[in-house]
Amino acid sequence: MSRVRTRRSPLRRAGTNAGLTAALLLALLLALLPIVWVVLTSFKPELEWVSDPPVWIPGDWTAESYTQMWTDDDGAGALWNSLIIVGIATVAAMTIGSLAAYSFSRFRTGGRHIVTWILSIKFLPPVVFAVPLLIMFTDVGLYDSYRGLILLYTAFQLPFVVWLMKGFFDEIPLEIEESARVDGCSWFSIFTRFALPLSAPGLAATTLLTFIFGWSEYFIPLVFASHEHFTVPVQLSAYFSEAVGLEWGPQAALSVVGILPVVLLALLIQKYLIRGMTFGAVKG
Amino acid sequence: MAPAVLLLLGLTAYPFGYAIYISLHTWKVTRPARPFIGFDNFRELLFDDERFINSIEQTLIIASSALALEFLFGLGMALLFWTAYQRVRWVATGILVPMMIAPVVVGFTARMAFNNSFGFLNQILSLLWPGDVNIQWLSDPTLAPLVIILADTWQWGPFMFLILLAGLLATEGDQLEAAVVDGAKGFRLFWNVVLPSIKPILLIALVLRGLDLLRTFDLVALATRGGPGISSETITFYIYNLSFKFFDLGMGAAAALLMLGGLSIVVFFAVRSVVRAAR
Repeated sequence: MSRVRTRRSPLRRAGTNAGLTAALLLALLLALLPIVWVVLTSFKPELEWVSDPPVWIPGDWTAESYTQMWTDDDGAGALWNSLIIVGIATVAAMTIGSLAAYSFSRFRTGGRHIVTWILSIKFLPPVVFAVPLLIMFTDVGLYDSYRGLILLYTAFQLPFVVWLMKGFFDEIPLEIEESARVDGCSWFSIFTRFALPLSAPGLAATTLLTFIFGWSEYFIPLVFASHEHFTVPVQLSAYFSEAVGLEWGPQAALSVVGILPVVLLALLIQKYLIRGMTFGAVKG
Repeated sequence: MAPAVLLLLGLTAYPFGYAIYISLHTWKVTRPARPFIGFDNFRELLFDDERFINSIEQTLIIASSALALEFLFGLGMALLFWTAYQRVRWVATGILVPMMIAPVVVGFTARMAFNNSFGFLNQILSLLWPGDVNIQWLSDPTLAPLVIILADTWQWGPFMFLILLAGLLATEGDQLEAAVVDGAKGFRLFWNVVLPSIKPILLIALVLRGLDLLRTFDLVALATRGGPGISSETITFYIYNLSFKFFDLGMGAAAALLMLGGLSIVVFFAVRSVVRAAR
Protein backbone atom coordinates (compact mmCIF):
# COMPACT_ATOMS: atom_id res chain seq x y z
CA MET A 1 0.00 0.00 0.00
CA SER A 2 1.33 3.39 -0.79
CA ARG A 3 1.84 6.03 1.81
CA VAL A 4 -0.57 8.37 0.15
CA ARG A 5 -3.42 5.92 0.60
CA THR A 6 -2.75 5.48 4.29
CA ARG A 7 -2.85 9.20 4.77
CA ARG A 8 -6.32 9.24 3.43
CA SER A 9 -7.82 6.71 5.79
CA PRO A 10 -7.08 7.38 9.46
CA LEU A 11 -9.02 9.60 11.81
CA ARG A 12 -10.79 11.76 9.34
CA ARG A 13 -14.19 10.86 8.12
CA ALA A 14 -14.91 12.16 4.69
CA GLY A 15 -15.26 15.83 5.55
CA THR A 16 -16.57 17.73 2.59
CA ASN A 17 -14.15 19.77 0.58
CA ALA A 18 -16.34 22.80 0.98
CA GLY A 19 -16.20 22.46 4.75
CA LEU A 20 -12.42 22.38 4.76
CA THR A 21 -12.15 25.37 2.48
CA ALA A 22 -14.60 27.25 4.68
CA ALA A 23 -12.55 26.43 7.78
CA LEU A 24 -9.38 27.70 6.10
CA LEU A 25 -11.05 30.86 4.93
CA LEU A 26 -12.38 31.48 8.43
CA ALA A 27 -8.90 31.00 9.90
CA LEU A 28 -7.47 33.38 7.33
CA LEU A 29 -10.16 35.93 8.10
CA LEU A 30 -9.53 35.66 11.83
CA ALA A 31 -5.80 36.10 11.29
CA LEU A 32 -6.03 39.10 9.01
CA LEU A 33 -9.09 41.02 10.21
CA PRO A 34 -7.37 42.80 13.15
CA ILE A 35 -4.51 43.82 10.86
CA VAL A 36 -6.93 45.15 8.26
CA TRP A 37 -8.56 47.13 11.08
CA VAL A 38 -5.23 48.70 12.06
CA VAL A 39 -4.42 49.61 8.46
CA LEU A 40 -7.87 51.14 7.92
CA THR A 41 -7.67 53.05 11.21
CA SER A 42 -4.38 54.60 10.13
CA PHE A 43 -6.26 56.28 7.24
CA LYS A 44 -9.26 57.49 9.28
CA PRO A 45 -9.88 61.13 10.20
CA GLU A 46 -9.65 61.84 13.92
CA LEU A 47 -13.41 61.71 14.55
CA GLU A 48 -13.63 58.12 13.32
CA TRP A 49 -10.84 56.74 15.53
CA VAL A 50 -13.28 56.28 18.39
CA SER A 51 -16.68 56.32 16.73
CA ASP A 52 -19.32 54.15 18.34
CA PRO A 53 -20.46 51.96 16.65
CA PRO A 54 -17.07 51.44 14.99
CA VAL A 55 -16.65 52.31 11.31
CA TRP A 56 -14.49 50.02 9.19
CA ILE A 57 -14.07 51.99 6.01
CA PRO A 58 -12.80 55.55 6.55
CA GLY A 59 -15.52 58.00 5.50
CA ASP A 60 -12.86 60.40 4.39
CA TRP A 61 -9.49 58.82 3.59
CA THR A 62 -6.64 60.87 4.97
CA ALA A 63 -2.92 60.50 5.53
CA GLU A 64 -2.90 63.00 8.40
CA SER A 65 -2.09 60.29 10.93
CA TYR A 66 1.02 59.43 8.94
CA THR A 67 2.14 63.05 8.77
CA GLN A 68 1.66 63.51 12.50
CA MET A 69 3.33 60.22 13.39
CA TRP A 70 6.24 60.78 11.00
CA THR A 71 7.16 64.42 11.65
CA ASP A 72 5.39 65.77 14.78
CA ASP A 73 5.94 62.64 16.86
CA ASP A 74 9.26 61.80 15.22
CA GLY A 75 8.31 58.33 14.03
CA ALA A 76 10.96 58.86 11.37
CA GLY A 77 13.58 59.03 14.12
CA ALA A 78 12.29 55.85 15.73
CA LEU A 79 12.36 54.05 12.41
CA TRP A 80 15.92 55.21 11.81
CA ASN A 81 16.96 54.05 15.31
CA SER A 82 15.34 50.66 14.72
CA LEU A 83 17.11 50.25 11.38
CA ILE A 84 20.54 51.23 12.76
CA ILE A 85 20.37 49.22 15.97
CA VAL A 86 18.69 46.10 14.64
CA GLY A 87 20.68 46.18 11.39
CA ILE A 88 24.12 46.40 12.98
CA ALA A 89 23.23 44.01 15.80
CA THR A 90 21.99 41.45 13.28
CA VAL A 91 25.26 41.58 11.34
CA ALA A 92 27.27 41.34 14.57
CA ALA A 93 25.23 38.48 15.98
CA MET A 94 25.43 36.61 12.66
CA THR A 95 29.22 37.00 12.50
CA ILE A 96 29.98 35.98 16.09
CA GLY A 97 27.14 33.47 16.18
CA SER A 98 27.95 31.54 13.03
CA LEU A 99 31.62 31.27 13.98
CA ALA A 100 30.57 29.87 17.34
CA ALA A 101 28.00 27.60 15.70
CA TYR A 102 30.58 26.25 13.28
CA SER A 103 32.95 25.48 16.09
CA PHE A 104 30.20 23.75 18.07
CA SER A 105 29.16 21.82 15.02
CA ARG A 106 32.61 20.63 13.91
CA PHE A 107 34.71 20.39 17.05
CA ARG A 108 32.04 19.99 19.72
CA THR A 109 33.81 22.83 21.53
CA GLY A 110 33.02 22.93 25.21
CA GLY A 111 30.86 19.85 24.99
CA ARG A 112 27.13 19.66 25.01
CA HIS A 113 26.61 21.66 28.19
CA ILE A 114 27.80 24.96 26.84
CA VAL A 115 25.42 24.73 23.89
CA THR A 116 22.55 23.95 26.25
CA TRP A 117 23.59 26.85 28.47
CA ILE A 118 23.53 29.21 25.51
CA LEU A 119 20.05 28.05 24.62
CA SER A 120 18.78 28.48 28.17
CA ILE A 121 19.83 32.15 28.15
CA LYS A 122 17.25 32.70 25.45
CA PHE A 123 14.56 31.60 27.87
CA LEU A 124 15.51 33.86 30.76
CA PRO A 125 13.37 36.95 31.11
CA PRO A 126 15.51 40.05 30.47
CA VAL A 127 13.77 41.81 33.36
CA VAL A 128 15.91 39.68 35.69
CA PHE A 129 19.14 41.30 34.50
CA ALA A 130 17.73 44.73 33.79
CA VAL A 131 18.61 46.67 36.95
CA PRO A 132 22.20 45.43 37.46
CA LEU A 133 22.91 45.85 33.75
CA LEU A 134 21.42 49.32 33.82
CA ILE A 135 23.67 50.36 36.71
CA MET A 136 26.64 48.79 34.94
CA PHE A 137 25.81 50.53 31.66
CA THR A 138 25.32 53.89 33.35
CA ASP A 139 28.71 53.55 35.06
CA VAL A 140 30.57 52.88 31.82
CA GLY A 141 28.58 55.39 29.76
CA LEU A 142 26.73 52.87 27.60
CA TYR A 143 23.24 53.82 28.79
CA ASP A 144 21.14 55.45 26.09
CA SER A 145 23.72 55.04 23.34
CA TYR A 146 23.73 53.21 20.02
CA ARG A 147 26.78 51.23 21.16
CA GLY A 148 25.09 50.00 24.34
CA LEU A 149 21.86 49.07 22.62
CA ILE A 150 23.64 47.30 19.78
CA LEU A 151 25.71 45.35 22.31
CA LEU A 152 22.58 44.18 24.15
CA TYR A 153 20.65 43.32 20.98
CA THR A 154 23.65 41.34 19.72
CA ALA A 155 23.98 39.39 22.95
CA PHE A 156 20.32 38.53 23.20
CA GLN A 157 20.15 37.42 19.57
CA LEU A 158 23.23 35.23 19.81
CA PRO A 159 21.59 32.10 21.28
CA PHE A 160 19.13 32.03 18.42
CA VAL A 161 21.84 32.43 15.75
CA VAL A 162 24.06 29.80 17.36
CA TRP A 163 21.30 27.22 17.53
CA LEU A 164 19.89 27.74 14.09
CA MET A 165 23.25 27.97 12.32
CA LYS A 166 24.57 24.91 14.16
CA GLY A 167 21.66 22.98 12.67
CA PHE A 168 22.48 24.21 9.17
CA PHE A 169 26.21 23.42 9.54
CA ASP A 170 25.38 19.96 10.86
CA GLU A 171 23.65 19.24 7.58
CA ILE A 172 26.72 19.87 5.42
CA PRO A 173 28.43 16.59 4.55
CA LEU A 174 31.85 16.38 6.22
CA GLU A 175 33.59 14.81 3.19
CA ILE A 176 34.01 18.08 1.28
CA GLU A 177 35.66 19.81 4.18
CA GLU A 178 37.84 16.83 4.96
CA SER A 179 39.30 16.72 1.47
CA ALA A 180 39.91 20.47 1.61
CA ARG A 181 41.68 19.91 4.91
CA VAL A 182 43.89 17.25 3.31
CA ASP A 183 44.74 19.76 0.58
CA GLY A 184 46.08 22.07 3.27
CA CYS A 185 43.26 24.57 3.82
CA SER A 186 43.08 26.22 7.23
CA TRP A 187 39.89 25.82 9.22
CA PHE A 188 39.06 29.48 8.78
CA SER A 189 39.34 29.33 5.00
CA ILE A 190 37.30 26.12 4.98
CA PHE A 191 34.68 28.02 6.96
CA THR A 192 34.59 30.98 4.58
CA ARG A 193 35.10 29.07 1.33
CA PHE A 194 32.97 25.97 1.92
CA ALA A 195 30.82 26.03 5.03
CA LEU A 196 29.34 29.49 4.48
CA PRO A 197 28.54 29.13 0.75
CA LEU A 198 27.12 25.63 1.30
CA SER A 199 24.78 26.89 4.00
CA ALA A 200 23.89 30.08 2.12
CA PRO A 201 20.09 29.61 2.17
CA GLY A 202 20.21 28.85 5.89
CA LEU A 203 22.49 31.80 6.47
CA ALA A 204 20.10 34.12 4.65
CA ALA A 205 17.07 32.77 6.48
CA THR A 206 18.78 33.07 9.87
CA THR A 207 19.84 36.65 9.11
CA LEU A 208 16.32 37.70 8.20
CA LEU A 209 14.78 35.91 11.20
CA THR A 210 17.31 37.53 13.53
CA PHE A 211 16.39 40.87 12.06
CA ILE A 212 12.67 40.16 12.53
CA PHE A 213 13.15 39.19 16.19
CA GLY A 214 15.30 42.24 16.82
CA TRP A 215 12.71 44.43 15.14
CA SER A 216 10.07 43.22 17.64
CA GLU A 217 12.28 43.67 20.72
CA TYR A 218 10.61 45.93 23.24
CA PHE A 219 12.12 45.45 26.66
CA ILE A 220 15.75 46.34 25.94
CA PRO A 221 15.08 49.75 24.37
CA LEU A 222 12.37 50.44 26.97
CA VAL A 223 14.90 50.15 29.78
CA PHE A 224 18.19 51.10 28.13
CA ALA A 225 17.17 54.04 25.95
CA SER A 226 15.68 57.44 26.54
CA HIS A 227 13.56 59.32 24.04
CA GLU A 228 16.43 60.06 21.70
CA HIS A 229 17.15 56.40 20.99
CA PHE A 230 13.61 55.00 21.02
CA THR A 231 12.95 52.24 18.52
CA VAL A 232 9.60 51.68 16.82
CA PRO A 233 8.12 49.36 19.52
CA VAL A 234 8.98 51.73 22.40
CA GLN A 235 7.76 54.70 20.41
CA LEU A 236 4.45 52.86 19.97
CA SER A 237 4.11 52.29 23.71
CA ALA A 238 5.19 55.84 24.55
CA TYR A 239 1.90 57.17 23.18
CA PHE A 240 0.11 55.61 26.14
CA SER A 241 2.22 57.27 28.79
CA GLU A 242 2.08 60.75 27.38
CA ALA A 243 -0.48 63.23 28.60
CA VAL A 244 -1.73 64.16 25.15
CA GLY A 245 -4.58 61.64 25.24
CA LEU A 246 -4.96 58.64 23.01
CA GLU A 247 -3.73 59.11 19.50
CA TRP A 248 -5.17 56.00 17.89
CA GLY A 249 -4.61 57.17 14.31
CA PRO A 250 -0.88 57.96 14.56
CA GLN A 251 -0.38 54.82 16.64
CA ALA A 252 -2.05 52.75 13.96
CA ALA A 253 0.12 54.48 11.35
CA LEU A 254 3.26 53.67 13.33
CA SER A 255 2.06 50.07 13.70
CA VAL A 256 1.72 49.80 9.93
CA VAL A 257 5.29 51.09 9.55
CA GLY A 258 6.37 48.50 12.12
CA ILE A 259 4.47 45.63 10.52
CA LEU A 260 5.35 46.19 6.86
CA PRO A 261 9.08 45.38 6.78
CA VAL A 262 8.82 42.19 8.82
CA VAL A 263 5.90 40.83 6.87
CA LEU A 264 7.75 41.46 3.61
CA LEU A 265 10.87 39.75 4.98
CA ALA A 266 8.81 36.86 6.31
CA LEU A 267 7.38 36.24 2.86
CA LEU A 268 10.92 35.80 1.54
CA ILE A 269 11.77 33.06 4.01
CA GLN A 270 8.42 31.40 4.48
CA LYS A 271 10.04 28.00 4.01
CA TYR A 272 12.25 28.49 7.05
CA LEU A 273 9.76 30.14 9.40
CA ILE A 274 8.76 27.08 11.40
CA ARG A 275 12.35 25.92 11.62
CA GLY A 276 13.44 29.33 12.84
CA MET A 277 10.63 29.68 15.33
CA THR A 278 11.56 26.36 16.94
CA PHE A 279 15.31 27.03 17.11
CA GLY A 280 15.89 24.50 14.39
CA ALA A 281 14.21 21.70 16.34
CA VAL A 282 11.50 21.19 13.74
CA LYS A 283 12.72 21.11 10.16
CA GLY A 284 9.19 21.80 8.85
CA MET B 1 33.13 30.65 19.77
CA ALA B 2 35.13 32.42 22.42
CA PRO B 3 33.66 35.87 21.67
CA ALA B 4 30.14 34.52 21.86
CA VAL B 5 30.66 32.86 25.22
CA LEU B 6 32.53 35.84 26.67
CA LEU B 7 29.85 38.28 25.61
CA LEU B 8 27.09 36.13 27.06
CA LEU B 9 29.00 35.51 30.30
CA GLY B 10 29.69 39.23 30.76
CA LEU B 11 26.08 40.15 30.22
CA THR B 12 24.63 37.40 32.42
CA ALA B 13 27.07 36.27 35.13
CA TYR B 14 28.10 39.70 36.39
CA PRO B 15 24.54 41.12 36.49
CA PHE B 16 23.44 37.94 38.20
CA GLY B 17 25.93 38.40 41.03
CA TYR B 18 25.07 42.08 41.25
CA ALA B 19 21.36 41.24 41.43
CA ILE B 20 21.98 38.99 44.44
CA TYR B 21 23.90 41.82 46.14
CA ILE B 22 21.09 44.33 45.52
CA SER B 23 18.41 41.92 46.68
CA LEU B 24 20.01 41.65 50.13
CA HIS B 25 19.74 45.40 50.76
CA THR B 26 17.03 47.97 51.20
CA TRP B 27 17.83 49.69 47.95
CA LYS B 28 15.61 52.53 46.86
CA VAL B 29 16.57 54.98 44.17
CA THR B 30 15.02 57.80 46.18
CA ARG B 31 17.04 57.11 49.33
CA PRO B 32 20.83 57.30 49.65
CA ALA B 33 21.05 54.84 52.58
CA ARG B 34 21.19 51.21 51.53
CA PRO B 35 21.34 49.04 54.65
CA PHE B 36 21.98 45.31 54.48
CA ILE B 37 18.87 43.40 55.50
CA GLY B 38 19.60 39.77 54.66
CA PHE B 39 16.70 37.91 53.17
CA ASP B 40 13.99 40.31 54.31
CA ASN B 41 13.05 41.31 50.76
CA PHE B 42 12.48 37.67 49.86
CA ARG B 43 10.50 37.08 53.03
CA GLU B 44 8.30 40.06 52.39
CA LEU B 45 7.59 39.02 48.81
CA LEU B 46 6.72 35.45 49.67
CA PHE B 47 4.71 36.03 52.84
CA ASP B 48 3.52 39.63 52.98
CA ASP B 49 3.19 40.79 49.41
CA GLU B 50 -0.22 39.90 48.04
CA ARG B 51 0.58 41.71 44.84
CA PHE B 52 3.52 39.38 44.15
CA ILE B 53 1.39 36.30 44.80
CA ASN B 54 -1.34 37.78 42.61
CA SER B 55 1.15 38.28 39.78
CA ILE B 56 2.21 34.63 40.01
CA GLU B 57 -1.42 33.52 39.91
CA GLN B 58 -2.23 35.76 36.95
CA THR B 59 0.84 34.54 35.08
CA LEU B 60 -0.08 30.92 35.64
CA ILE B 61 -3.72 31.48 34.66
CA ILE B 62 -2.81 33.40 31.52
CA ALA B 63 0.00 31.06 30.48
CA SER B 64 -1.91 27.82 31.02
CA SER B 65 -5.14 29.04 29.40
CA ALA B 66 -3.41 30.51 26.37
CA LEU B 67 -1.25 27.41 25.97
CA ALA B 68 -4.31 25.15 26.18
CA LEU B 69 -6.29 27.23 23.69
CA GLU B 70 -3.41 27.46 21.22
CA PHE B 71 -2.74 23.76 21.54
CA LEU B 72 -6.35 22.69 21.07
CA PHE B 73 -6.82 25.01 18.11
CA GLY B 74 -3.53 23.87 16.57
CA LEU B 75 -4.15 20.17 17.06
CA GLY B 76 -7.74 20.38 15.85
CA MET B 77 -6.76 22.24 12.70
CA ALA B 78 -3.75 20.00 12.08
CA LEU B 79 -5.86 16.83 12.32
CA LEU B 80 -8.48 18.39 10.08
CA PHE B 81 -5.97 19.26 7.39
CA TRP B 82 -3.67 16.29 7.76
CA THR B 83 -4.92 14.72 4.58
CA ALA B 84 -5.56 17.97 2.80
CA TYR B 85 -2.31 19.71 3.58
CA GLN B 86 -1.83 20.91 -0.01
CA ARG B 87 -4.72 23.28 0.58
CA VAL B 88 -3.03 24.83 3.58
CA ARG B 89 -0.12 26.06 1.54
CA TRP B 90 -1.89 28.96 -0.13
CA VAL B 91 -3.20 30.33 3.14
CA ALA B 92 -0.10 29.53 5.23
CA THR B 93 1.47 32.89 4.45
CA GLY B 94 -1.67 34.71 5.47
CA ILE B 95 -2.21 32.95 8.78
CA LEU B 96 1.47 33.30 9.67
CA VAL B 97 1.28 37.09 9.54
CA PRO B 98 0.17 37.52 13.20
CA MET B 99 3.18 35.52 14.33
CA MET B 100 5.62 37.90 12.63
CA ILE B 101 4.19 41.03 14.19
CA ALA B 102 5.82 42.56 17.25
CA PRO B 103 3.92 41.66 20.46
CA VAL B 104 3.60 45.38 21.23
CA VAL B 105 1.66 45.85 18.00
CA VAL B 106 -0.55 42.91 18.95
CA GLY B 107 -1.09 44.52 22.36
CA PHE B 108 -1.98 47.85 20.80
CA THR B 109 -4.38 46.15 18.39
CA ALA B 110 -6.02 44.25 21.25
CA ARG B 111 -6.47 47.51 23.16
CA MET B 112 -8.44 48.90 20.25
CA ALA B 113 -10.26 45.71 19.31
CA PHE B 114 -11.52 44.97 22.83
CA ASN B 115 -12.60 48.52 23.63
CA ASN B 116 -16.26 48.34 24.59
CA SER B 117 -17.39 51.40 22.65
CA PHE B 118 -15.25 51.74 19.53
CA GLY B 119 -13.66 48.27 19.45
CA PHE B 120 -14.73 45.97 16.66
CA LEU B 121 -14.96 42.80 18.75
CA ASN B 122 -18.24 43.74 20.43
CA GLN B 123 -19.50 44.86 17.03
CA ILE B 124 -18.79 41.45 15.49
CA LEU B 125 -20.23 39.63 18.50
CA SER B 126 -23.40 41.72 18.12
CA LEU B 127 -23.77 40.31 14.62
CA LEU B 128 -23.52 36.72 15.86
CA TRP B 129 -25.45 37.16 19.09
CA PRO B 130 -29.00 38.41 19.44
CA GLY B 131 -29.12 41.89 20.94
CA ASP B 132 -26.48 44.53 21.42
CA VAL B 133 -23.33 43.01 22.93
CA ASN B 134 -21.56 45.44 25.22
CA ILE B 135 -18.87 43.57 27.11
CA GLN B 136 -16.49 45.69 29.22
CA TRP B 137 -13.43 43.63 28.26
CA LEU B 138 -10.80 46.06 29.45
CA SER B 139 -12.45 47.51 32.53
CA ASP B 140 -13.72 44.26 34.06
CA PRO B 141 -11.04 42.69 36.29
CA THR B 142 -12.21 39.17 35.52
CA LEU B 143 -12.16 39.75 31.75
CA ALA B 144 -8.84 41.61 31.45
CA PRO B 145 -6.71 38.43 31.70
CA LEU B 146 -8.94 36.94 29.02
CA VAL B 147 -7.97 39.78 26.68
CA ILE B 148 -4.31 38.80 27.09
CA ILE B 149 -5.16 35.14 26.61
CA LEU B 150 -7.18 35.74 23.45
CA ALA B 151 -4.64 38.14 21.96
CA ASP B 152 -1.82 35.66 22.53
CA THR B 153 -3.90 32.84 21.07
CA TRP B 154 -4.59 34.97 18.01
CA GLN B 155 -0.87 35.52 17.53
CA TRP B 156 0.39 32.01 18.23
CA GLY B 157 -2.48 29.63 17.44
CA PRO B 158 -1.43 29.45 13.77
CA PHE B 159 2.09 28.57 14.85
CA MET B 160 0.77 25.56 16.77
CA PHE B 161 -1.32 24.56 13.77
CA LEU B 162 1.57 24.63 11.31
CA ILE B 163 4.08 23.01 13.63
CA LEU B 164 1.73 20.15 14.53
CA LEU B 165 0.81 19.74 10.87
CA ALA B 166 4.52 19.39 10.09
CA GLY B 167 4.67 16.76 12.83
CA LEU B 168 1.72 14.80 11.47
CA LEU B 169 3.07 14.89 7.92
CA ALA B 170 6.36 13.41 9.13
CA THR B 171 4.73 10.40 10.83
CA GLU B 172 5.42 7.02 9.35
CA GLY B 173 2.62 5.66 7.21
CA ASP B 174 3.50 2.03 7.93
CA GLN B 175 2.84 2.26 11.61
CA LEU B 176 -0.53 3.85 11.10
CA GLU B 177 -1.40 1.31 8.47
CA ALA B 178 -0.57 -1.59 10.76
CA ALA B 179 -2.72 -0.07 13.50
CA VAL B 180 -5.62 0.45 11.13
CA VAL B 181 -5.33 -3.13 9.91
CA ASP B 182 -5.42 -4.25 13.54
CA GLY B 183 -8.76 -2.50 13.87
CA ALA B 184 -7.73 0.65 15.76
CA LYS B 185 -9.78 3.68 14.97
CA GLY B 186 -11.13 6.96 16.21
CA PHE B 187 -9.91 8.15 19.58
CA ARG B 188 -7.88 5.01 20.35
CA LEU B 189 -5.98 5.28 17.09
CA PHE B 190 -5.25 8.90 17.90
CA TRP B 191 -4.23 8.25 21.51
CA ASN B 192 -2.13 5.12 20.99
CA VAL B 193 -0.58 5.67 17.59
CA VAL B 194 -0.81 9.22 16.32
CA LEU B 195 -0.05 11.04 19.56
CA PRO B 196 3.11 9.07 20.44
CA SER B 197 4.48 9.55 16.93
CA ILE B 198 4.20 13.34 17.07
CA LYS B 199 5.30 13.54 20.71
CA PRO B 200 8.74 15.12 20.09
CA ILE B 201 7.35 17.95 17.99
CA LEU B 202 4.42 18.38 20.34
CA LEU B 203 6.82 18.73 23.24
CA ILE B 204 8.94 21.31 21.47
CA ALA B 205 5.92 23.38 20.55
CA LEU B 206 4.49 23.29 24.07
CA VAL B 207 7.80 24.04 25.75
CA LEU B 208 8.71 26.97 23.52
CA ARG B 209 5.29 28.54 23.81
CA GLY B 210 5.01 27.82 27.53
CA LEU B 211 8.34 29.46 28.33
CA ASP B 212 7.44 32.49 26.27
CA LEU B 213 4.08 32.76 28.00
CA LEU B 214 5.59 32.62 31.48
CA ARG B 215 7.47 35.83 30.76
CA THR B 216 4.70 37.66 28.94
CA PHE B 217 5.54 41.35 29.15
CA ASP B 218 5.18 43.22 25.87
CA LEU B 219 1.59 42.20 25.30
CA VAL B 220 0.54 43.15 28.83
CA ALA B 221 2.40 46.45 28.66
CA LEU B 222 0.38 47.57 25.66
CA ALA B 223 -2.97 45.82 25.98
CA THR B 224 -3.92 46.27 29.64
CA ARG B 225 -0.88 47.70 31.48
CA GLY B 226 -1.64 45.08 34.14
CA GLY B 227 -5.03 46.56 34.90
CA PRO B 228 -7.69 47.27 35.76
CA GLY B 229 -6.05 47.42 39.17
CA ILE B 230 -3.64 44.52 39.18
CA SER B 231 -6.03 42.03 37.59
CA SER B 232 -3.82 41.22 34.61
CA GLU B 233 -0.41 41.98 36.09
CA THR B 234 2.06 39.22 35.22
CA ILE B 235 5.26 38.49 37.17
CA THR B 236 7.55 40.21 34.70
CA PHE B 237 5.30 43.25 34.62
CA TYR B 238 5.23 43.44 38.44
CA ILE B 239 9.01 43.14 38.62
CA TYR B 240 9.27 45.93 36.09
CA ASN B 241 6.89 48.07 38.18
CA LEU B 242 8.86 47.39 41.37
CA SER B 243 12.12 48.55 39.84
CA PHE B 244 11.12 51.19 37.33
CA LYS B 245 7.90 52.62 38.75
CA PHE B 246 8.28 52.29 42.52
CA PHE B 247 12.10 52.50 42.26
CA ASP B 248 12.42 49.78 44.88
CA LEU B 249 15.42 48.01 43.38
CA GLY B 250 15.95 45.71 46.38
CA MET B 251 12.46 44.25 46.13
CA GLY B 252 12.69 44.22 42.34
CA ALA B 253 15.92 42.24 42.39
CA ALA B 254 14.56 39.82 44.97
CA ALA B 255 11.40 39.23 42.94
CA ALA B 256 13.47 38.77 39.79
CA LEU B 257 15.67 36.20 41.52
CA LEU B 258 12.66 34.31 42.84
CA MET B 259 11.25 34.21 39.34
CA LEU B 260 14.61 33.13 37.97
CA GLY B 261 14.71 30.32 40.53
CA GLY B 262 11.28 29.07 39.62
CA LEU B 263 11.90 29.45 35.92
CA SER B 264 15.31 27.74 36.06
CA ILE B 265 13.66 24.55 37.21
CA VAL B 266 11.21 24.75 34.32
CA VAL B 267 13.93 25.75 31.85
CA PHE B 268 16.22 22.94 32.98
CA PHE B 269 13.70 20.24 32.22
CA ALA B 270 12.30 22.04 29.21
CA VAL B 271 15.62 22.63 27.46
CA ARG B 272 16.65 19.08 28.19
CA SER B 273 13.50 17.74 26.60
CA VAL B 274 13.88 20.04 23.60
CA VAL B 275 17.50 19.01 23.09
CA ARG B 276 16.51 15.36 23.33
CA ALA B 277 13.55 15.69 21.04
CA ALA B 278 15.61 17.61 18.50
CA ARG B 279 18.19 14.88 18.27
